Amino acid sequence: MKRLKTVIIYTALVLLLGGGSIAGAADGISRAEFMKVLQELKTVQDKVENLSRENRDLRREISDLKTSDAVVQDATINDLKEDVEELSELMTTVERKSMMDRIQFGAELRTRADWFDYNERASSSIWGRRNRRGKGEEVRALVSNRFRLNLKAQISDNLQFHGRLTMHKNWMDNDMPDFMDYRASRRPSDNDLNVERAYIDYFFSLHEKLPMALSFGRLPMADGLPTDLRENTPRKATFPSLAYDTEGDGVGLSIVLDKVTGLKNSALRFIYMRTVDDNDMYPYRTTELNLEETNYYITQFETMLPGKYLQDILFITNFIILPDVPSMDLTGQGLTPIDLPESMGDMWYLTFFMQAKNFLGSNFDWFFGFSYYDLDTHGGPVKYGLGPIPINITFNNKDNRSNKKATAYHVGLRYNIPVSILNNPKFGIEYNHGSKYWLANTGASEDPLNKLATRGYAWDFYYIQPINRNLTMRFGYTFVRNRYKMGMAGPDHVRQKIQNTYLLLDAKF
Amino acid sequence: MRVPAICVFLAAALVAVVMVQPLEAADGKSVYLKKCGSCHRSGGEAEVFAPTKYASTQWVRFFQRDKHKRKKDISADYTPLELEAVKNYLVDHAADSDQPEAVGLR
Repeated sequence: MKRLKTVIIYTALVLLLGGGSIAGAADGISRAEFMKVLQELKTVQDKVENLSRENRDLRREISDLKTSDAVVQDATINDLKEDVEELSELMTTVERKSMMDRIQFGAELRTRADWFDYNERASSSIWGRRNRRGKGEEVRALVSNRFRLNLKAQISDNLQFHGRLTMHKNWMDNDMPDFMDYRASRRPSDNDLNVERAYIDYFFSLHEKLPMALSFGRLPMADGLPTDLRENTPRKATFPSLAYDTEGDGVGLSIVLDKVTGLKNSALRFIYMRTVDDNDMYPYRTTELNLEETNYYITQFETMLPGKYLQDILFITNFIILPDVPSMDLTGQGLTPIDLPESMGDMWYLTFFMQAKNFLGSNFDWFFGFSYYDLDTHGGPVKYGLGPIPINITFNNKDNRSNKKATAYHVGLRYNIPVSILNNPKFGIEYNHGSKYWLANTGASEDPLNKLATRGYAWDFYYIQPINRNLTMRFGYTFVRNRYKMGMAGPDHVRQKIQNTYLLLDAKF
Repeated sequence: MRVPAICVFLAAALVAVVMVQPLEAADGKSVYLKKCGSCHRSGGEAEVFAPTKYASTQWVRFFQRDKHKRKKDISADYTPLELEAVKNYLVDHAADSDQPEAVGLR
């Protein structure tokens, strides 16, 4: 701007000094014209000065504004800093609490009412002759409470803990605790919390393609597949219930095979479990004829099947072997031992199981399980004396010499009724069958009739009505027809009909 | 075996329901796997996430406040039914939901 002003003044002076020559020239401009130009130049100069002034004013205003904004911004930044510091303190407190809370808790409360109807006509051969008798019983609305405290801890990146403590009792009843450790928390007894499961998973890898997990403790064995359908939960156990559905202590190694097989969720599991009866009921008993340890060696392969039409199917094959099953100890039952062989024989089970949820998007869940059981007898019968009367207790056969085989299968279907206004209730049907010598490992079954142990057949119908995300109602009916039952000298023929109608309420949170 | 009357009733009810057109067409898991998974996959334009990323209440808030819009507006890619189905699926499998358990299962 200053430069422009200088140019204008300089031009005006030049024109002023050269005025004579301009005036003297023949074609020169007149003084009047010159003065006019000079006047115009003066006008221009005034405008330039005005503009210059306005510019200065504007600069001043901008400067003022900037100063004002800076003050506001500084104030805002300070506020935000204070907020962040406060939030940071809060986050630290929350994080510390979260890290201190090593165990996360969940809970389940179930109240159920059962109406049992039991009828039996049996033929027993224990006395060497057939003994026919009949009996029956009805139980009206046996109401029970089951409370579960579920525990979980992510101890570190590769170490996690799961636990479940359970109280299970009939209303206002305080029965003796169930000393059968494989079902101690699964049958109504007293008010105590029992440890149903408490185990650690340690995840590691010896080869990048073979992630592994070492698990030990009281393992998740009860509520085997497909109990999750009837219970309307995710998978809650390692094995199919047809193969093994009891509580149990053991150690296991899982090898994840996804990267090797290319199959989703494929894994090989090796599990060793042991049961031992050291007779806690009779700690001072003089005859320490306890049941020696029974060892379970379990191998299981599981995977989701490949292919567009099979991808929803979980396939499991499970092999259980119990070598040298020890003799049955009934010393505490008023019997005198005569001959107790060390082992009664070997047993093994081979089970195949498939389960699909929302199969092909059809809202249908289904499962199919088949188990083959083989009994290899060796050793003589267990001989006791009841006073002068000798009793032979055999190993799931009559003669304690012959080997026996048995099969069982379990099929079922659940339909997820797609009515959102009813919270998508579910309806399920199950059927299972067990042959004469079938010997199930299902003592901790969720079903109070332990229907999978039947040597006959069983039907099961249920309707699940979710009330909201945390509350569910289930109504069901189970019908069991047993053809044989376990006797001390092998299976006894029986005509046994057991029915159970039940209604339960489940709250989970 | 005589089939109890209740079984006949329940079977009839089941058939009746099956014949009714599904009222909720979208399957949350499928939509989550296909649509969400088209971006949220390893090597995809968005990070991989599992429903256990948030607790159920946090998922509900996520959808109520349409938080996805801050990063990308996906409203044109999903029908309202699909969004509802995905929300239900994520809530049902959230961090505070009942999780599967088995030996050696992460």
